[in-house]
Amino acid sequence: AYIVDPKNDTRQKPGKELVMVMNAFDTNLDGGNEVYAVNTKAFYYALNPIKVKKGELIRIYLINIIEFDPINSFHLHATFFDEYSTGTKQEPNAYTDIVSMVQGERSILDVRFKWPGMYMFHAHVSEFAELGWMGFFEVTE
Amino acid sequence: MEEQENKGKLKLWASALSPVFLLLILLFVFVKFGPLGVFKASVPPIENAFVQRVIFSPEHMALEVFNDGPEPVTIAQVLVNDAYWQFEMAPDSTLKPLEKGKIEIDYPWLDGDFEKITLISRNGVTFEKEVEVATLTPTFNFFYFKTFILLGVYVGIIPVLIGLLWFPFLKMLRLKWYSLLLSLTVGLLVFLGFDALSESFELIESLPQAFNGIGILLIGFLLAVLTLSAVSYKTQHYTKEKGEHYQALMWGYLISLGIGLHNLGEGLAIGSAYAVGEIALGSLLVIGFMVHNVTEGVAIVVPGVFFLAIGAGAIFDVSFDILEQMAKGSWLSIFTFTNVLGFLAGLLIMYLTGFLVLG
Repeated sequence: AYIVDPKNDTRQKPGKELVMVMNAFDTNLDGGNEVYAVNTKAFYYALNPIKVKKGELIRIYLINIIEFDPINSFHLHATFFDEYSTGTKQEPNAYTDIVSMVQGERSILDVRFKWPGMYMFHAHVSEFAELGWMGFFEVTE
Repeated sequence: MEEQENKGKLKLWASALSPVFLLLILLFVFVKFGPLGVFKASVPPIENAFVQRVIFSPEHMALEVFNDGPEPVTIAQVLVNDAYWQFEMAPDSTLKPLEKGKIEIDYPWLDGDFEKITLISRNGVTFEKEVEVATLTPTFNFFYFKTFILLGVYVGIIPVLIGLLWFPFLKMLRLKWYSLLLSLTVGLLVFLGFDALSESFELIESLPQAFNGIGILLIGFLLAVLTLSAVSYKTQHYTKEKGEHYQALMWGYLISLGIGLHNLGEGLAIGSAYAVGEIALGSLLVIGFMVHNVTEGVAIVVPGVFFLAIGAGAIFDVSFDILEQMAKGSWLSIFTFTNVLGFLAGLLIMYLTGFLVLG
């Protein structure tokens, strides 16, 4: 990814930067999606959790390009994060554990994990979660 | 002289076979060197998979899948109720045309639930299968065997025997009333015949297209008509000598054969409907021939279609025979007022009793 930070960046420096593109596939051309994923491969991060360190600042660049479904969401278990809608301001506009996104919307999320363990993240639309849009953060010491 | 004869025979065979031979050569040349490029345009593969049967066991589902299309199909994913589930497929995940496979899924289904299963092929094509009511698939054991035999006796044998007891009454009738009853019989038979035909058509929907259900239906129907007609024709010779009594007896046999075959088809339909849990939906009256949505495997449904079609054919053939006898040459003469009433009564009786066997 090609990331351009603002001039005079007052935000904290992230320990890890992750780009997450939420996308979906209509395999049988019926106007509905059969497979949902974050970064294309369904269930990929459920089977290969993202390894991060406790206390590290994780910056997630979140983009929603799912067609057909009017709304998508990003939900993280057991932790809250700062949301910078569309990434246009240096002050976060929300401190939350769930972000809803329409088609084409994007945000930057800053999250810090306090304790080690497995943290699931997934779409809060159950249908999408069951069809591939789910994963894990594996937080270690 | 013999040499002449042999030469003649040779000529006969040669003239019969040489066009066939030329045709074979043509086909070979066409396939090998012909302009087939036209047909090989880049078109996505035509895939067609068909779930014939869903077998429910505790916390588990097994699907019998059949490749109904002209191209091989690889099943990549299986969805149950819009969620991906892990599955195993035997013998492997690719089915060649007309090949069968079995998919095993560990799924906690609930009794009475609606289940929707979707198969996704490697090329993204989806194939759906809906189970209206999930119930444990009965396995073959003695209890069911006994029950169904008993059912068959109650539904198929006893009523017919009771009907036969009308014989002494019939013997005492005058011609007019006898014709009325014959017309009634034909009315009943014609209704039954159409019923069997329509059930046969419905069953075809549950068959993979590759098996050409209409073809089976046609063959079954015509087989019955042709066989019975041939038998009638052959026996005509004897009946001419042995008189009306023998003729009537032959009729009796033919009618029983027709109805018997029809009932065989119905029995198969009932049995297979029960086996897939469709009967769980409804009627305590098993005689409610639940042929709707029978989704049994090919092994059962094909004979079902076939036998129902045979039954229908037999029934129509027998009905025609009866009418022909009544006509004795002049067809219009059978349409007496009494006879017409009798025919309509027969149709009406079948229609009304149909309400008792809803489903």
